[in-house]
Parts: sequence; C-alpha cells; structure tokens
Amino acid sequence: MIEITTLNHRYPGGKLSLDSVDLHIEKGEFVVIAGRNGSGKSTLVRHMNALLLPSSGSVKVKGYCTAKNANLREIRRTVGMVFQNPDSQFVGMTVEEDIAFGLENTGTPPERVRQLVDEILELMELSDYKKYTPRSLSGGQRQMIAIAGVLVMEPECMVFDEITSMLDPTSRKEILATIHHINKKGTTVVHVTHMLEEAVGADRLIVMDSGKIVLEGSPDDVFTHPDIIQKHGMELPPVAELSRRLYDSGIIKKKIVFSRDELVEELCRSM
Amino acid sequence: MSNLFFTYIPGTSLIHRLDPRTKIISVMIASMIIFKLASFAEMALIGAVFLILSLVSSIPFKVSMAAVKPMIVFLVIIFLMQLFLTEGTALFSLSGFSATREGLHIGLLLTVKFVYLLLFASLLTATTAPSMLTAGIERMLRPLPLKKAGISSFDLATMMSLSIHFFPLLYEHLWHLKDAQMSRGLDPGRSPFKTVYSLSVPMMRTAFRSAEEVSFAMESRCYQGICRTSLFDPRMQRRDFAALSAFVVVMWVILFFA
Repeated sequence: MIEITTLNHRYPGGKLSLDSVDLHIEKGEFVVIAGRNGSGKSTLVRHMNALLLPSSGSVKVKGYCTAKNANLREIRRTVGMVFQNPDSQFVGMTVEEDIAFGLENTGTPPERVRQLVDEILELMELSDYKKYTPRSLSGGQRQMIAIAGVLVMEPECMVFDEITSMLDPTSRKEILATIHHINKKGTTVVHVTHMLEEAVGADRLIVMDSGKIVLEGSPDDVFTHPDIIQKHGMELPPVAELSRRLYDSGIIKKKIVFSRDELVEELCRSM
Repeated sequence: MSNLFFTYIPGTSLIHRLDPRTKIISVMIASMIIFKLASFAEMALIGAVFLILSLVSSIPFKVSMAAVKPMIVFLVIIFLMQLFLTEGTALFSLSGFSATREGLHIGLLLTVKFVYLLLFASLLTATTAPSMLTAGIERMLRPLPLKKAGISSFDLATMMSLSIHFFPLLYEHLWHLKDAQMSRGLDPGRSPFKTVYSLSVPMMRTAFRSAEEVSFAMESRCYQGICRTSLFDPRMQRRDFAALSAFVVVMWVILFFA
C-alpha cells in the first residue's frame, strides 16, 4: 500500500528531520508510530499523502510516486489524514458542511454528497448535530467530525496524526475504539501517538527518534525492550511496566502483559 | 460583540426559502434605490417595505437592531458633520460652528439611509445560512472572467467562508492571549500601547500558524481550488423570479411615483 524507501527530509534551513527511513505498510494493516516530540513521526506521515515531498528517497502510494504532481489527487483520495487539532482543520461552518468538504473537492454530485454525508452522520452518531457549528461541540465530538470528514471519502488508508493528544481519557477511549473499528472494516490505519499504550491491539509498532526508526515489530516484541524504549524518551504503559517488574522478580511467568484483566489472571495463576 | 450581529436565524419563512441570489440581488437593488431617494416620504415607504419583509421572514426586530447598534458612533458622526458643515439658514451655534436647517435635513436623511442599508443587509444575513450566502455569491461570480486575474470563483467562495469561520476562532485566541499576558503582569488599562504590541505580535503568529494548519487539512482533503461541487445546490425557482420581479416593481414605484 505505502512504500517508503531511504526517505530523507530536511525542512528549509533546518537539520535532517527524517534520516534514511525505510517502511512498507501493507493493505489492511494497523500500524502505530510512536516517538517523543520532535522524533520525526508527524513529518514521516505527512509524506504519506504528499503534504511533504522527499528531500531524497521516494514515497509510493499504491505504486503512485508522491513527487509527481499528476498523482496528487489519486494519492490524497487513497490516503486520508486527520490532524491533532480539530479546530484548525474545520473548513465548513456547520458539521454537515465540514464533512461534505472533501466530497465537494472531488466533484461528487450534490445529491450523492447529501446521501454520503447523511450516512456517515448516522454511522458516527452525529446526526443530531449536523446543523451545529463544530466549535460548539466537545473535544471528542469535534475529533469525531474530523474523522467523519475523511472517512466519508472512503480512503483505503487513514493516517491519524496524534489525534488523541488533546482529549480527555473517556473521549480518547472512544476515538481509539473508532479507529480500531475503521481498521476492522478493512481500512489500513497508521496511528501516530506518543503514548505506547495506544499500540495495544495494533499489528505493528514503530518507535522513532531523531528522524530514524529505532524499534519495529509487533507491540509484544517491542515492549520486551523497555531499556531501548526508555532511552528514546518513551515509557512502557503502566500495566506492561508492572508486569515486567513482576516477571523480573519471578512472580509471574509471562514476560509482558498489556491489560489489567490479563495481569490479574497471571497473578491468580502464579499464586 | 453582540451574538446577534449579522447572525443567521434559522427559519422556514418564504424569505428563508428563497434562493440566496434572489436576496443578494434584492439587497443590491434596495441599496441603489435608498441612495437615490431624497425625501422623507420616500424613506417612510422604504421603511414600510422593510417592515413587511421583516414580518414575512419573522425575524425579531432586535436582530435587525443588533446590526445598527455597533455603528451608532459612526452614524452620529455622519449626522453631526452634515449638521454643522452644510451651509444654509443657521439654527443655533456651538463653539463657532453653526448648525443649519439644510444640514439637519441632509444629516437626518443620510443617517436614515445608512440605517436602512444596515437593516436590509441584516435581513439578508438573518434569513440566509452563511454557506448558502457563499454558494450564492460563488454562482453569481462564476460567469465573470476571474481566471484572467489568476483566481476562480471557487477560490473566492472558499476564502469568504473561511474568513467567516475563522473570525470567531481568532477572536477566541485573542481572549486567551490577553488572559495569558495579563497573568504575566500586563495591565491593558494602564498601558494600552504596550497591550496592543504584546497582543498583536503573538496574534499574527497564531493567525499564520492556523492558516498553515488549515491549508494542510484542506490539501489533504483534495482541495485544489478548481471545479468543486456543493452540498447546497441553489436553484432559482419560479418563486424566486416572482419575488424578484415584485421587489423590482415596488422599488420602481417608490422611485418614480412617491
């Protein structure tokens, strides 16, 4: 789906923010990219729908090279992107208008736009708010609208760039559940975060630092390297950290546990 | 700022249901007629037209007044300038300037004209959703050769709707910024110039950053400024042509027979 080969990126007048990154994302995969601030994770995903272009190396989406202007529309229809701050990505004055924005840009006939917008509003349980201004809703709802605005275009891949970082814990859970649901329906998902616990349930976890990929693998594998994770400014999720310590002290037999329930089971088993 | 200032009041009246172009053209015609008129009798007739339209659209009068209120200082200045600077029969004198009978007449007339303009404009914005308004303006601009100026009617419509959308957002930022600066010792009452300086520089940065973010979001949703469709597809119907014709006839009658 997305092939990134020896990608380098340098902002004008700045240092190298991506340093020889190689990454292949398969169709239907759920990939989490984690890293501390300034690690290059947002820069990397902005290459995935040609918002940024490589300084050197190449990025291909479904075989289309992002450096070619003629491929822009196809690439952006294939890869949709949701950003961190919902307020600064709203274009429409009401919820329904904002959701319709992408469809209007691709020349969808008005009747079809109306139908698709109504369907997505229903699906995301936002129908009651369709005439509201997005800013009058809660943080979680606003982020849901931002997701709906991209989802309505039916992209094959969706990139979520730190969309949970400004939300309260309840909204964060809801948004994460929505992202997982979208992936289960067959959409490829790339989720950028600085919280490793959000990688639980993902197919692949990539940890970045200083513009490079420093760890890559299934979350189970990556979490078995807590020292490397810490060295690059990240922390294991609390349950995983606790289970690791319990394992090191010989109390439980499983090296890494993600969920509270599983940890309770492990503890009961070892007693 | 009042929340009712040129705001949209949702409704289902005949005027709400008219095509935005019908309403925009009517307001343009009304503005031209208002500036052509020269007597109070004609003005009263225009006032009657406004009242009827206001009743038909069931827009509360306070909504229309909310458009006039912030302009009162401006209106008073216009009135006083006409009153004292027009030559004619003196009425009374104030520190060397004398108010004239002609000045009073012209001043009152001009003030009423400006008030009417604001009232008709408020009726347009109160009965037309902002998105319909921009869709209407876009349709009206489409036949113009804007391409020669390197811009499309879609660009203009998007710019307008973004401006309407971003204004309250920037206003909110300004308040946050003011709170942040005041918590660090800024006193707007004592040092107004310093306040303007310490707010305007970060405000500029915020505005540019927001603009960059929204442009990223727009581009990633395939915005290219070329031919777009619209969720709202305004279509001129029979009632639009009827309403527009009736309005033109009424205005013509006022202009020529009153």
